[in-house]
Amino acid sequence: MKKRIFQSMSLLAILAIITTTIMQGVFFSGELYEAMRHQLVHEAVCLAEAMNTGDVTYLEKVSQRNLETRITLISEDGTVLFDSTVQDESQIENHNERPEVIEARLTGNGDDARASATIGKETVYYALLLDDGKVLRVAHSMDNLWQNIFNTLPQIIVFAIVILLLALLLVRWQVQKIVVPINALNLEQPLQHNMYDELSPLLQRIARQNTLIQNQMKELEERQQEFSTLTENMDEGLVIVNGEGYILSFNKRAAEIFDLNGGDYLHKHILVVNRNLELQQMIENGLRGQQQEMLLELDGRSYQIMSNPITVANKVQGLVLLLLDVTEKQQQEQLRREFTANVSHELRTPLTAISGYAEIMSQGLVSPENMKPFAEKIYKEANRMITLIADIIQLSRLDEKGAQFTREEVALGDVLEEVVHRLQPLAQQKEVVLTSYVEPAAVLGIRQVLQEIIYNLCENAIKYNKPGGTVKASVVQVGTHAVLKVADTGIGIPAEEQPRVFERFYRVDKSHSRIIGGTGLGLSIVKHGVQLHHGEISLESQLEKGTTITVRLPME
Amino acid sequence: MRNKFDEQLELLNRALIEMGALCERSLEIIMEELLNGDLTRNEEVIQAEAAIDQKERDIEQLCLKLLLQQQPVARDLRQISAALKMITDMERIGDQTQDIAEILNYDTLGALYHDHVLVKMAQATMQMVTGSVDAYVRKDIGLAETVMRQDDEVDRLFVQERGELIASIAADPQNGETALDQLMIAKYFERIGDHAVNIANWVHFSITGSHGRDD
Repeated sequence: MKKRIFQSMSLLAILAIITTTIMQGVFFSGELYEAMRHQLVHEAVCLAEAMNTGDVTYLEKVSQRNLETRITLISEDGTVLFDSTVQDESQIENHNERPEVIEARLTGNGDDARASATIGKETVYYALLLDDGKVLRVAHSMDNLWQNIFNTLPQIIVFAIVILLLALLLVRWQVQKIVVPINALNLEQPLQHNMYDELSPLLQRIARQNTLIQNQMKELEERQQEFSTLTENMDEGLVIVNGEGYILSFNKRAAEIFDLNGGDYLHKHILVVNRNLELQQMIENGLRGQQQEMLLELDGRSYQIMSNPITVANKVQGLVLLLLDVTEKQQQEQLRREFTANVSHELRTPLTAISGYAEIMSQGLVSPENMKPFAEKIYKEANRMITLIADIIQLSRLDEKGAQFTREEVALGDVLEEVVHRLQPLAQQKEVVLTSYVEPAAVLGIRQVLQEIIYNLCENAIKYNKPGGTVKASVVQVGTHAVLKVADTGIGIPAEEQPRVFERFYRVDKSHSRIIGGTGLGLSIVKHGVQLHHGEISLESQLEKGTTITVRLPME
Repeated sequence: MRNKFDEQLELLNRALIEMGALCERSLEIIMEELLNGDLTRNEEVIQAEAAIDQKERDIEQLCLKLLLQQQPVARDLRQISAALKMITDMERIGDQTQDIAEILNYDTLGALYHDHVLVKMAQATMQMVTGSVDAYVRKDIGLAETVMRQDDEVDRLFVQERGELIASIAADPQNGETALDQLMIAKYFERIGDHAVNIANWVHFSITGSHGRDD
């Protein structure tokens, strides 16, 4: 801008200088010409007066003093009698044809101005007719217009340079003055302090642009907000890394999993977050475009990590890592595996026994009198298998959330008393005193399952009791819940085993389970039954002192 | 210029973490082996030592290059010189885990109980090494100081193990061979603990310019 303003300004200044010079030249040369002519006339008149009285010697004397004025004396026939610039007058041509001489002969005086292009001078002539018929001519040379201008050129150039310098300074100062308020403009509110009307269209466009940008920003922010709300509330951890493995973003869950709270981990390498070698390998592979999954153990929990490369134009630009907490799934998987192994084992044991006895019998190695005990053993083992299979069927039916059971009003007290009645023979056999206390409490539930729960609990209490011990079973109503309590004075369960007794096939005393009998599924059936009724089960036990199991069932 | 320097410092940082991770992995395997008596991954520890050595040379080269070409000052200089010292300690940890793996190769101790002193030592040193690397990663002075304090526990466990082994030999001289091997393992763990303390010290130095505790 400065340059352009300076250019136009200098152009203007130079144009001004040139025009003034020419104008001045024209004006002054006119003036000069007039003044010179005037002077010539004077000189001529004086000389003529002198010549009328004197002679040519006078002219010679005058011309010796004054060389600037050319004096010529022309006779009647036109020959030059005297010329102040020439030594030998005879050389000069006849002057009668000169316009000023012709004019002088006619009117008494005459003048003319002739330019000599070769020396850039203009000569002004003035002729007077003397009394004796001779003509006296006086001439004076002066510079012409262009020569005049040319003569003043050095001064003009100096003058022009000074003007241009001044212009430069002025431009600089002016531009600064113009630009300062523009720079100080508040672009957020461009229309507020408009200093120049010329800028209005621009400022209005800026204002429009501003609103557009603001709207777009708002939209972007909303989208970002939406995105982060979604990711922040995800159950899965989400980490996004760029093509070099530096973290671009992670959600709240990921921060929890990697324990990132209280640190700035954005734009840090993923290595800083977790330096597990397999994870690093996975990220390296991921950045080469490979999709992968792995299992990572962190603080006792298992996470499934999936890595998904983000490819833009056939180039991996980043990686999305999704972290899933699969601890429970892993545990369930573990339980399921154990269960299958246990079922196979539990089914095989009686079958091996049956097959063994049958083999001996088929080979005829058993005497007829021993046949009966052998058959009894086969019968007993077969029965064991039937109970076991019945239990497993029961359990899998409970697993199916009791779809095929019908719910009805069940008076828990009645069920308990019936069970106690059925178990009295077993109690007597084990020398255990079995008593019950019953309050009226009815729950909406499945009779068959509730019966099973109470039966299993009471049977366990008797089986794992000591001779002379007691079993107290009770049903009471507490608030909106029916509470079933079975307390025994038996062998108890060690504290570390307590959390596991509800697992399928779990036996506290593995070595003696065969003597006591049972399948290891009893308490598991109880637990599932209680869950089916939306109830809670709790266990209190002290080794060698006894066990109390409490079941709370909602009545509605 | 500065950008290039920062890039190289970041490279150094990553290489150090990777080296730490290798040490941790070896220790982890050793601990699992002590608990399960299953030596299938023993070879991995022995091979990891070579990888750790290679890492040490790489980092050393990178540090020297940085020192020569960038002539760092103040904090950057501290970080690089600390890195140079740390890799020596990490390399020693790699050596000593390898030594333990080699002892296990010819004298299988079998599966040890959770409360066996060697298992406790393995756990404690593992925690210290992880702690020191974590302190480096997070630039956490508090964590570095915790690691320095934990060394006392490892020293105590070493003395305890020594006492138990003496008693075991006294009870039956037949136990001598195993007892000596166990003592060696215990001593290696004790040394690993010391190296972890050194690393923590260097972390402290690289952050603050002074050592946390003099040992």
